[in-house]
Amino acid sequence: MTDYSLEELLISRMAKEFRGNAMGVGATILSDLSARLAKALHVPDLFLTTGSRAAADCDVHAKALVDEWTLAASGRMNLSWQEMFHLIAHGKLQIWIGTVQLDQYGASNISVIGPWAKPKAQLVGARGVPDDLWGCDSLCYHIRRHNPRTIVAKVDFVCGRGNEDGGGPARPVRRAKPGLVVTDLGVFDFEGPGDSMRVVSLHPGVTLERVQEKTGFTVHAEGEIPVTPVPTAEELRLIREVIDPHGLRRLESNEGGDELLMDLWQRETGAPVEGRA
Amino acid sequence: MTKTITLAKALAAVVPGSSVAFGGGGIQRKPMAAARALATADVGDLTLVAMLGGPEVDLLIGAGKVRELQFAFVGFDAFGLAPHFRRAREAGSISVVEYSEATIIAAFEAGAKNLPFLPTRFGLDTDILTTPTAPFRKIACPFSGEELLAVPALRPDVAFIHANIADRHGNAVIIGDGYADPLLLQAAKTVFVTAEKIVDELPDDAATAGGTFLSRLWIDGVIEVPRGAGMTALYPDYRFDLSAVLEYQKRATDSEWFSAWIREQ
Repeated sequence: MTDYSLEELLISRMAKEFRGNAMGVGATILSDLSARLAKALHVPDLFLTTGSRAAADCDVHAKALVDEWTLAASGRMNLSWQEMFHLIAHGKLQIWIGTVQLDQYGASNISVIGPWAKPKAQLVGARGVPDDLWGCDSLCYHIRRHNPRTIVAKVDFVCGRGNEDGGGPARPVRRAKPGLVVTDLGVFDFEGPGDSMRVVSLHPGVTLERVQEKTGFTVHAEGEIPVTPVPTAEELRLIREVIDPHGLRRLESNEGGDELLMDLWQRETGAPVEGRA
Repeated sequence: MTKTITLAKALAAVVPGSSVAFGGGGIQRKPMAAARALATADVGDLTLVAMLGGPEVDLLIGAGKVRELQFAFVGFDAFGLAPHFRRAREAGSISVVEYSEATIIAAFEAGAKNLPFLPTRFGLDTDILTTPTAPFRKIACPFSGEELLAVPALRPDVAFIHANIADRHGNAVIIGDGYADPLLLQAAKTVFVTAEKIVDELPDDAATAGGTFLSRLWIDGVIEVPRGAGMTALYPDYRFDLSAVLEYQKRATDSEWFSAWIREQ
């Protein structure tokens, strides 16, 4: 099987990280799809909550722009945000976070670019990342575009802490470690020297030189670097026919844009959008 | 006793310098009718409070009503960044207090419990503790000595929450995601619920039973506002208005377009 897109490869790779009997959340479209694929394929008791807390612990449904409408059909629980953070405090969350910056020791930033007091670019704010840090075993990251502005020597604002302090002082509850990172070029972890970033695998056709050129520091690489496993025929069937028949995964490809968004919206709602082609 | 009031009466509770909180999250179930009415009211210097701010926060910043924002997130979810929030931050024209989701929830929970603060681990070792406006203090657990984060209570002066349905006694039900609203409800000093529909008694059906119930004991007034969430989504009544959301993002910082948009109720 060679006919697959980069997005399909990423969904398949991210899906391999989920384990059962806990919440499985993907905060980007591709990672949300990866949680659904994991549940459909090999983790039937994965607790899905990404689309809506009001339809928590739902079955696998086709991804929609407005998920609440489709997930409600099978959601088993109306999960309050208070209880969701109790579940996180008890280690029952596995998450792929979409970060804007990630650094060589695995610190992440979704809040601001430049100085916090007067940012060069204001992003969305720290959101739940400083919280997931105190519940998850590890924080996994999905980064759409691997370049020297996203994979940096040091983040501008620490939302998720990295390994540069060796994990901090001994505590009754251990801080989450930075886990796997999946980008458009490869898969990485933090098992390099001093717990820094290391190459785990490169996607088909990607060279180490290209990764190095696109990274804001020297990435550690050792030995023969494997190629990221490509999606199986069964994974591709599930992605294309079950979890993403409308192709929302294209929103996180180079095709993404308002026209694609409008096309997906029309398919989902069945209604033409006023005033737009 | 009926708690049915008008939006104008509710807005009169907001005075210059008030802290005003909004329920919902991102582009889901935002009290847009209340926020737009506030944007044209003669009251400013406000402190806004929102765990997950969306267009309601953005439009009030754009209307020049906001002195300070207390938040964990402001954005349009998968559909991009908030234009006025972004511009104001990059110009340094508003003060902000940055929380995380769980720390602002802890602040609401402390307010709800009428306590001065609550301890958490959430947020430790991150830069939300290092900003000049950070409200947190590191403390030692009095039992084990463990380092914890003390999060002071938030008690907004006025909170606006949008619900699917309310009764004339002041009870309300949210059918979809409740976000932090059940705690905000109990933390705020004055609470107004806008609802799509106000009935004599809430229906005895599965959707209502499975929803989030907001008791009249916390609520000061309910206001019937059909399509009160504006261009944001209210499950299961209406989806968000994608064209309107994208148009707002593109044009909101065009002052002519924006002032016309705000007045178009």
